[in-house]
Amino acid sequence: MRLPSSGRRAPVPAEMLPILNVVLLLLGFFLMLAQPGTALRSAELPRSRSAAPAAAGSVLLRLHADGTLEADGRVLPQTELAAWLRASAATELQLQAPPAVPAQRVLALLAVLRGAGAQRVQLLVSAEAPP
Amino acid sequence: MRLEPAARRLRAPALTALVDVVFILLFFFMLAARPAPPRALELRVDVAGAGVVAAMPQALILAGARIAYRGQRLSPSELAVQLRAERAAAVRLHADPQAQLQDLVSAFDALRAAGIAAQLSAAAP
Repeated sequence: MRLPSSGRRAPVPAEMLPILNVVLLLLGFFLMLAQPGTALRSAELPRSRSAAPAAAGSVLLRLHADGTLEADGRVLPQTELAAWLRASAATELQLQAPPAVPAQRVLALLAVLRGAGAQRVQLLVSAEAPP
Repeated sequence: MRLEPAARRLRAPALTALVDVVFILLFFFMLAARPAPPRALELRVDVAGAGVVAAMPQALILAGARIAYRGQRLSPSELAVQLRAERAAAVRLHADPQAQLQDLVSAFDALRAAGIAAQLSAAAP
C-alpha cells in the first residue's frame, strides 16, 4: 500500500525570491526617480536669497542653455511664443532658466510674455541662506 | 563516554536578502523625505513705456555681479546703499549683453533686501 505523501511539495527555489524582490525594488526605485516633479534640479537654477515659495498651477516655460525654449513640454520657437501664450490663455507662468544664460535674453523673453498678456511671471530659483 | 559538542555549521550570510533590506530602507526614506517646494522670484519688466516713471534712476547690470550706475561700477549692495542715500524707492535695471541671469538675480536680491523696488527693462539704457 502506498501511503499518501505528507504534503511536502517539490522544493521551491527559495533563493530566487530575494533576487526577484531586489529586481522589483530597483524597478520601483527608478520609476520613482523618473517622476516629472523631480525634473527641477537646483543646480540648474540661479541662487537667490529673497525667493518666496513658487505659486502652484502656473504654466512652466523652460529656457535651455543653448537658447531653445520649451513651453508646456514642447519646443517652441521664440517667434511663436506670443501666439502660443494667447492661444493657451495662461496668465501665470513660471520660467526656468540656467544661471549662466544671458540676462538680456531673459528680459527680452519677459517683455514678450508681458506684451502677450502674461500678468505674473515667476523665475524659479534655488534658495540660498541669507548672509 | 564523552560526547563532543556538535560543531556549529557556519552559514554564509544571505547577501541578496541584505541588499533587499538596504533597498527597502532606501526606498522608505526617499518616499518619506518631502522634496523642498520650488522657490521663485517675481520679475516685473516694463513694456513700451507702460508704467515707466521718467525720474526713476537707471542702472546697468554688468557681468561678474557689477552694476554701472552714474559712471561708477558698484556691487549690488553698494548700489543699494547709494540708492538709499539718494532716497530712491525704485530703480530701473537694464542688462549688459555679457551679464548673466545670476548677476541679475544677485542685484535683485540686494535691492529687495534694502527695500528698493527693481523694475526690469528689456530696452537698451
